[in-house]
Amino acid sequence: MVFNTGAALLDAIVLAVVSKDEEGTYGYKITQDVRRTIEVSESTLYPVLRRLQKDDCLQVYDRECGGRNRRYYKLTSAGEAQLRLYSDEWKSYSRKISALFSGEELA
Amino acid sequence: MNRDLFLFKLEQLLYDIPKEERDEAMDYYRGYFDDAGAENEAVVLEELESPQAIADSIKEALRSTGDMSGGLKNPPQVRDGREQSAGQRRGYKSIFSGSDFQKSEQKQYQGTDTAGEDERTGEQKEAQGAAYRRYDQYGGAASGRRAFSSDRSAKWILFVILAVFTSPIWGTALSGVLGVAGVVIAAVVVLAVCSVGCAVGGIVCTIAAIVRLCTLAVVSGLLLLGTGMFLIAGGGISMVLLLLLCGKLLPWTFRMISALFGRILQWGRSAV
Repeated sequence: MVFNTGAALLDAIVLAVVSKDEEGTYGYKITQDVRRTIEVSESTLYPVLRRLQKDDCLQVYDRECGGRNRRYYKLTSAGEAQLRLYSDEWKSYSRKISALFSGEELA
Repeated sequence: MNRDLFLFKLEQLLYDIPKEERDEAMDYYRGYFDDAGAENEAVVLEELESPQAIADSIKEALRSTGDMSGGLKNPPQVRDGREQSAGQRRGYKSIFSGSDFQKSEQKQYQGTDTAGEDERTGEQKEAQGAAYRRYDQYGGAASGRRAFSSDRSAKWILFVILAVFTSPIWGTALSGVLGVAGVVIAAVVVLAVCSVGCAVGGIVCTIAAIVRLCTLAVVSGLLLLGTGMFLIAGGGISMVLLLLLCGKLLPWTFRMISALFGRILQWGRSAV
C-alpha cells in the first residue's frame, strides 16, 4: 500500500478489530485480523495494545484455554467512545478525499 | 533460532526496563507463540522479525512515555466533544501529511510517525498532566533507583557470605598478625621493665658500694660496685634495644598491619 498508517489510524484499527469480538480477543488473533486489513509489523502491535490498555481504552482479563491462561482484550466504555470518535472522523476525512478524487463538490 | 532462544534473547534485551513491563511483554509473546501453535513456529518467527526489533519498539514506546498516538492523549471523557474533535483533526493532519512514496513501506511508517510526533508537541502541553501521570506508571527514574539500591545490597550480602566462607584463611592470617604484634608489644614491655629495673638496681648498688668503700669494707664494696656497674650497663643495653624497637620495629609492624587491613578493606570495597 502506498499510504502509510499513522499512530491514530493504527489505534482506530486495533480498537475496531477488538470490538468485533463481544467476548474479547487475544494478541495473536488481533495481529492476524489487523494484518488482514493493513500491512503492519508485529513489533508495532504489542506497544499499541499495551498503551491502549494503559489509556483505559482496553481492559484485559485472563481465561483458561487449553491448560494455560490466555490474556483477552476487550473494549472499555472509554474505548468504545474513542472508537466512535475515530470512526466519525474517518468518515468525514475519507468522504472529503473521495469527493476530491471523484471531482464532486461537497455540499 | 527457535521459540525458546527467541524469548530468551528478548528477555535479555528487555532487562533495562521496569520488571512489570518486562513480565507483561514476555507473557504476551509467550502467549503469542502458544496461540500460533508449534506448527506455525517458523512463520511466527519470521513475522516477529527479531528480538531486537521487538525490544526496540517496546523501549521506544516506553521512552515516549506511552504517548505515541495522535488521538489518544486525552481520553474522550476528559474534554468536551467539540474541543476534542479539533484535537483529533490536528492529529489526523499531522499523521496523513508528508507521505513519501519513494520510501519503503516500513520507512514511511516510521518517518510519518516521527513527523506526527513533532507536530503534536503543541498539543502535548494540554496533555502534559496526563503524560506525567503515565510516566509515573511506567516507573520512570524511581524504579531505576530502586533497582540500583537492591543491586548494592545484593552485593553486600554476597560480600558477607564470601567473608564467612573465607574466614579460615583470613582468620589465620589475622591471628598471625595479632600474634606478631603481641610479641613485639611484650618485648617492648619486658625491655622497658628490664632497663628501668637494671638502671635503678645499678644505681642503688653503686651508691651502696660507695658507702661500703667509705666504711673501708673494701671487698664487699668492690663486689657491689662491680655488680652496680654491670646492672647499669645492662640497663643501658636494654634502653638502647628499647629505643631501637620503639623507633624502628614498632612503627614498621604497625605500618605492615595497617597496610594489610587497608588491602582487605580495599578488596572488600572493590568486591562491593
